[in-house]
Amino acid sequence: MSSATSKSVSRGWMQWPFAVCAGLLLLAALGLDPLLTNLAERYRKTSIMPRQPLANFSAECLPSFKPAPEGSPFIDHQSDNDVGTDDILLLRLQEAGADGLDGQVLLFVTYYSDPDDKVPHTPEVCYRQIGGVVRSIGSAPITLSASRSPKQTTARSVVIEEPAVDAVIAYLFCTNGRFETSRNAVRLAMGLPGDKRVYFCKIEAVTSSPRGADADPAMARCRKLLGEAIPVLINDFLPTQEDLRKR
Amino acid sequence: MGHRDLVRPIVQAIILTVLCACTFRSEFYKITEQATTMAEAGHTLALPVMVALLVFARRDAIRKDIRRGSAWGPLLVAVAVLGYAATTWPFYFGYARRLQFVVAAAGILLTVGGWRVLWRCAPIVIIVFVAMPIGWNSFSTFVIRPETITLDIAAKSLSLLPSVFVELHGSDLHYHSSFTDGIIALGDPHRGVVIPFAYLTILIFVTYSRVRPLWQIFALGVLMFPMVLVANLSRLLLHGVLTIYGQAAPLDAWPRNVSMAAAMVLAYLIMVLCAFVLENLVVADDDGLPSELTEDDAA
Repeated sequence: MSSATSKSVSRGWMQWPFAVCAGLLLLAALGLDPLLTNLAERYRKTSIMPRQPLANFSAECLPSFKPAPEGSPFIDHQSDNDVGTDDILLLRLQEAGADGLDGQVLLFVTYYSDPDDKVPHTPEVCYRQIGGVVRSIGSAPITLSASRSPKQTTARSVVIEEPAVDAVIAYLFCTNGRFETSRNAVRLAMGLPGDKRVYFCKIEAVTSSPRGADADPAMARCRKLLGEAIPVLINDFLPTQEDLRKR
Repeated sequence: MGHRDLVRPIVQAIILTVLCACTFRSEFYKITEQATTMAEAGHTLALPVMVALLVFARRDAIRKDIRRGSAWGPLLVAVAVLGYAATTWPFYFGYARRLQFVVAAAGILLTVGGWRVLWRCAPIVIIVFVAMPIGWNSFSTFVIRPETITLDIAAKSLSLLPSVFVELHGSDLHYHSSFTDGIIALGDPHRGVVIPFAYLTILIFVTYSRVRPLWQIFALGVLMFPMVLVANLSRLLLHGVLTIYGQAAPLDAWPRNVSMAAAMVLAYLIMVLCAFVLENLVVADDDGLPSELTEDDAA
């Protein structure tokens, strides 16, 4: 290095980049935490209840499905007591033209409205805790029947190997009217500015498939169920965009 | 540049690092707490020592390359502060908050010494990035499949032991042997995500522990990922063997800690061996000068 450069390096302890950097960090060290605390308190979102309890959801709203026969065996579902909310819908359904054990599918909806919620575990995590082995994770396109909501969306598809059968699952989240498939995306959507109130809802369709068999027919059943159930939930149960903007 | 000339950048770096720790103090406390209470995040505690050793290995080059601070330094630090603020409110993402340390570290290096010093110290920035304790839930979707494959391989391999049958049940390995039944690696998913980062930290440290030709760095970089997978699988296998033959309870810490430490040593030894082989693959020219592009040349 030349002597001139060396001199310029050693000289001037308060070179402006250092001074700016130190000033910035000092300011942030003193003021950032109180500022963020104040902002979080001032603009804190509040919770909002669904327009009607999810328990009012009826299988009659779904043209392609009927209630499953009472007492028919089905795949085990994750513990219903451990979902962290009382707003739950758990419907055992069957495709309209099917009989016996064929075409059975479970609609499982949970509704949350805590602004500080870290978003619960997703099926690929929860099913492992009860012994399932995740064999595939992907995405499944969902075509929504007539509604105010978008015509197409995407769900996450999961195939879980269980002792007797494979559990085939399609699920998505609806967060303040937005459809998301990951908990990080839900958390991001919950933080977006604009709305004054916040909710998110996990909508999950579960069916079974013979172990190791092609899961596509079972996944198609889940997609069809979500395509019919989501518009009903959006139109009749979940809060409207107008409600979300009011205190 | 003489030793006296180094006083200014060193003092400035210390001042900015202390201010940075004060600014990001809440995350700093959390990282320290995790590193001191979770064995699998313990490598974070070694970070200051690793950073000091990496700087020491590059001391001559850094001394030679120190320039006036770059204006991009304060800009990067500002990005780190804004990123930290945004990931605190309105979006709370703990891991993203932690990564602001990495951006801030790059900003401080630029502020103190300029671009060439940042290039020299790139290994430090990389190692700070890898050593940040990672949250499992955020990445569960990405890691569940590779983790399941690792557990599957471990189950099949352990089943080859005489009179032992191991099957995957959820994220646990259940074993049945002629003398006892039990569970291996209960609750392993979290460790299965965090520990590979500890291995990666070690491998990066070995790679950069001396100034190497760039081709060696690339070669070792390519080797790192399979090595992490091998180390993680070795950990599970050893954990299984110790649990089965030591008849340990599912939550016993000793087989977990022994297997974790042994796999770390294995990862270190394999990487040192690879580095040794690579170093001896190329012989210096007759004039004694190195014939490859090195970090120095690239700088």
